[in-house]
Amino acid sequence: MEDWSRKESPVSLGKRGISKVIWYIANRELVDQLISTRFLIIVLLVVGLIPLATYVGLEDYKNRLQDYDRLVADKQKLMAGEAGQKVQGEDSPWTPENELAVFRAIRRPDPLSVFVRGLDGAYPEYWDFTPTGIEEGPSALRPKRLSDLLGQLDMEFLIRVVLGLLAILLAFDAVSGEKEMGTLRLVFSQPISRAGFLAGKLVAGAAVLLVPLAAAFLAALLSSKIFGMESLPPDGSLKLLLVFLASSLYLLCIYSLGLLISSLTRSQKTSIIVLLVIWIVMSLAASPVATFTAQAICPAPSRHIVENQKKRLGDALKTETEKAMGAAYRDVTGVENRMSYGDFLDNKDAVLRRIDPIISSYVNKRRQLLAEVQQEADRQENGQNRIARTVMWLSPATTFTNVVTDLSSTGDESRLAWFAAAERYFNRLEAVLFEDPPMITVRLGGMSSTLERRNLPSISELPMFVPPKNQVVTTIQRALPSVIILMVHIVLLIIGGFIAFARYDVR
Amino acid sequence: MLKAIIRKELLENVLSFRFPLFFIICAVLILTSLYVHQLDFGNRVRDYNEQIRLAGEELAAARPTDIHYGRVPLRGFLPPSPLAGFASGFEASLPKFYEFNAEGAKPGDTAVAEESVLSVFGKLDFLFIVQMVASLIVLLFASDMIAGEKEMGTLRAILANSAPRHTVLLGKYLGGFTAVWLPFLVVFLLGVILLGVLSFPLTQAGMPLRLALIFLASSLFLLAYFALGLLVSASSARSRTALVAILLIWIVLQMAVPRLSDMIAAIVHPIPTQTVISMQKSVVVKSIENEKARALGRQYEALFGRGTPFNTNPEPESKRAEWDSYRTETETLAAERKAAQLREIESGYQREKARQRAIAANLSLISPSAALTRLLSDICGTGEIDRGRYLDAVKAHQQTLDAALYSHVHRTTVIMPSGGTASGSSIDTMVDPKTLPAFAFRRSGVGDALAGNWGSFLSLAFWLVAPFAAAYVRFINYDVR
Amino acid sequence: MNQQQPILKAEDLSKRYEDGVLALDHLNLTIRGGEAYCLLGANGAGKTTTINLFLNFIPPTTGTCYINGIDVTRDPLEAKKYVAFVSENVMLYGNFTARQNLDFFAKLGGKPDLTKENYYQVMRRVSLQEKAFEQRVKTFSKGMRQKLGISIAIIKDASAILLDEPTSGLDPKAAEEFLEILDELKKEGKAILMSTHDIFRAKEIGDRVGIMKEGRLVMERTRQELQYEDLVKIYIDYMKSEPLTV
Repeated sequence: MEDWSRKESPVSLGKRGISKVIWYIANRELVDQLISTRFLIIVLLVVGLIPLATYVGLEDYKNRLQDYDRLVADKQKLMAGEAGQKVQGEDSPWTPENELAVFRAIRRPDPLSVFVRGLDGAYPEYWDFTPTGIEEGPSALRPKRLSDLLGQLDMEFLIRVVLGLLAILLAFDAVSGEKEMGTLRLVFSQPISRAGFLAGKLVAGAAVLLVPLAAAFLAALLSSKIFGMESLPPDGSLKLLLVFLASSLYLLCIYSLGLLISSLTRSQKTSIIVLLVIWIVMSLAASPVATFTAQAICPAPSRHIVENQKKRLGDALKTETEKAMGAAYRDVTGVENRMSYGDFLDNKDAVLRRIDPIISSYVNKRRQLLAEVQQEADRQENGQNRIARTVMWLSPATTFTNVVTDLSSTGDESRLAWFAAAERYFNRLEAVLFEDPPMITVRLGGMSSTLERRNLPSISELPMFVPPKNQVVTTIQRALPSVIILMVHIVLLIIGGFIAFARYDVR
Repeated sequence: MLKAIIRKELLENVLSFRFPLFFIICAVLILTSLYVHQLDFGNRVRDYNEQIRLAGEELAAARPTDIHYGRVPLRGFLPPSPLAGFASGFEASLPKFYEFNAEGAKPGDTAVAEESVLSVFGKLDFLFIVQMVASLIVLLFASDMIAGEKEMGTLRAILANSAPRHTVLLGKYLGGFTAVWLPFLVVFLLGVILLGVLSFPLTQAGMPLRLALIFLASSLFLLAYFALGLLVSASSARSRTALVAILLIWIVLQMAVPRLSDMIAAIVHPIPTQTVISMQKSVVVKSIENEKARALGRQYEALFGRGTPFNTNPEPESKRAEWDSYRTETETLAAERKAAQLREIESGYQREKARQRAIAANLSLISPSAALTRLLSDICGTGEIDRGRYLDAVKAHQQTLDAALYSHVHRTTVIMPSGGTASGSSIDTMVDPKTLPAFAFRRSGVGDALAGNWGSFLSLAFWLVAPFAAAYVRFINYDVR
Repeated sequence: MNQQQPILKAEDLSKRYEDGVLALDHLNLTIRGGEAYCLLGANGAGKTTTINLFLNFIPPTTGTCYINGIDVTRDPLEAKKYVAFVSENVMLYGNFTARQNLDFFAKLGGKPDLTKENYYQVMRRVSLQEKAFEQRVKTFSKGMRQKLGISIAIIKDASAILLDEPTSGLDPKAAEEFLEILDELKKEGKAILMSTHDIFRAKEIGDRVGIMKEGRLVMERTRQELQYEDLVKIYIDYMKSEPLTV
């Protein structure tokens, strides 16, 4: 009657046979997911929110870019014109605030911050270097609204939260759902191995998740073009591609977690609840726990406290020195009850000869003192950061955030790099300018006066600020450890999944 | 009938895994976070007292002239809020102190400046746990109540009796929620006890009331989400669909809406950045100062001759009076102009900011979690109301200091027509710094918090009533086969 | 297909679960090609356990199952090539059509090159309505799903068919049609092992009928023997009698 029954004898289960079977499982799973409502809704949600997120990110970036341009223009004007003017008279400060802008380190906002906000808005827009220390300029983001404290709606968030939840929704019933539906029994009455089945699910999940991820990236690039963003430099495009790859890793990780949990539970409801609890803990509790643990294990003073400490020490030393210089002044000029420019000019060489050694000893003492404080603070802070980062590696979500913000130079590491660069520049400036000060303040009794010691160096002699490196290689280096951790997560979860499923009751 | 149903729902949930699971999760998260925040509060109080003491010492040791000239700034500190562990609100992001000097009030450092990138995850306080974790769990439990029973077949059995549908629904609502509310209550009480042990100021005026309000508001919030879950369950044929719907709704309400409202407000009503504003201000200041200096320089040369070096007490004495009066007049005029223009810029900016904020706030009230956030943070003294009060207190204190101290300091910069700039400063009356009033900041009362949050109440009320009403309608027609 | 060869064989098969329950107690059973064996028994008597053991869903405590001479525990993938399974009350893949479900399981079972017409043929054979062929399975009634289930088994064209309560929940007409198909398959030389509560149908289709009680095969009758004995009476007597184990 039917010739189909004579068509073929059962296939042999060689290598090709196994991969074919995996393909059948994967294919079926893929189609099933792609036509499901939940997939459609989430993709629409993501693709719908991306233009909005991009728009806001772009507007914010444009504002900060405007600020940057203005600050740079200001600085250039200053450098061309009025810096280094001598000021006559009593009680005049060495350099009025404006002139310090010559040394200002201005940070250009990173174009990738349109997509991955990270900390980019929380950086100071510039750093000023004063004789008494580094002062940070305002940052564009001081949480002005309560919802700022809830986080920002950028692409990183959409991938981590929304697509992450999609991965959970796709994976949670992969095994337990088929068990409840009875199809698991049917499938395993066929010649298919457990590993093959799970491998098929894995492949399908990965493929399904790539679709909305790619759609999200395309939507983001498209929106940014439409809303008038400049083209990314090739560097930036490469980094964006790496962000895409990192996102795929993250989603694969979440999906593997879902498969593992699904293979450990018998009912879908249990699967989803367990998964959600894990996901909530991992996403929302991981970072505060990490920060708290790090602070508990390795307390470190905040940057500002350290700066204040250094400033206080420096000021105290400075006042002491100024008084010593005042004593020298008195000794040389013989004048005790007034400080006038005329007296100083008459005895300039003698005064300076007495004062110079005081200054160099002050300079040395100061450098040593401050270096000690800074080194200790650095040690503690590095220790704390390392601990926090290590704890955060336990959670794929926080690891993902670290990877992505590192790649787009809006993360912790880049921020630390900027601070370090500011420190380095400050040390160089100190060496050139403040350690051989052209103008000094001398205290005698209750009076103080600022005297000229040597000619002010011209602007062209001064070192300029060098921003930290931002090329792809650097960002990859920063992100690499976290990427490896993500891969480790994936491997462990997949192995766990296979082990769990090998013992799964398929009846 | 109703009582029997309530009892059954209550027992069923208590005996299932939900009750202990919810209890454990709440207990672990809430108690840990309260503990951590209380420790942190202790540190911050210590810091606060230390800072005040140090500032006082600095002030006592400083020379009065330094204080007048602003080389030693006067500081006003923000006392830490004990309830920040419940709703951290703006607590961490407000400047811990302000420095007052002649140019105005400058904010000191805040805790947020040191946050790592992962602070974008949000702070783990009680509010957060209720909003993000408890709400999701409550939603999940409720989503199973109707569709799940239908799948088990017991729904048919119940409705085969003479109990009307609305009774059944009400029974599920009350009984089911009580099963979820009891662990929450127990954990909250444990938390309060824990705080008491850790020397939390439980008996401070208004504190018990605030704690009670926090608990009440959170319970209402959870009840609203429970009703929402019931609605979803009564609209789904299978509990699997309900589950997925719940998750999507939760994402939208919890995560998308609060941020979206902000983004939409920023789009609808964009405002310039702080840098732009401060640049505008410095342009104004510079131009006025320049003008003033030039005018003074002209007058100086007119009175004392060209090329005379600048001196705050110039010779001859006879012309000094004329010079002083001219100088005072010019400086006062310039100061007034400067103040007026700066005020205009600042108030314009604040107006725009307030408008944008209002738009965002009103939009965000769509989400019950935003409503809860605002309500709780105001009750805890870390919300908009207290932030406004802090900034107002800073402004007021600056004005007081200006009138009492800084108005007596004159900084004169002259630009000589013959070339050259010179400057000098003088103080017309020395003020004893100890007589200056200290910075005072009073937190808002419970009444203020409640009065300012009628929008949040409306939102919560809506979310309490509407889903339940809708669930009622859906359940009446629910297909139980 | 050699009709004399034993295709399904259980040798001294026992299963004790972790909680100590003895679900199967030394079962010995041989079913040859062209033979239908019906297992009767109360819930928990061991019928489903037997089938699960044949499918290697659980490992036996003692004894062996053979399909076509292949030890199921030792070489499950090979053994499963020769057996088809009809489960009780399977929801199948709801978002897929009947044909898509059939296609998937056919491929898994080792028949990747079938055409749409092949699938239609099989579905017609089980009297599934034409319009249901391309309809999503989640709209199917229980009877339709059962029919699809048997067509999945048919299309595999395996030497043995295992059925777990296949007619539960089917109306008499559908059950009758179902048995007709089984009869045809039996005549094609397949070995059939069916667990059921349905005494009447068991008598009709079964060449042999076995009654299981508390894990043991306590009684077995052939079709000829049953012509002279009242199966119903025997069955109920056994159900009512004292428990076998204390």
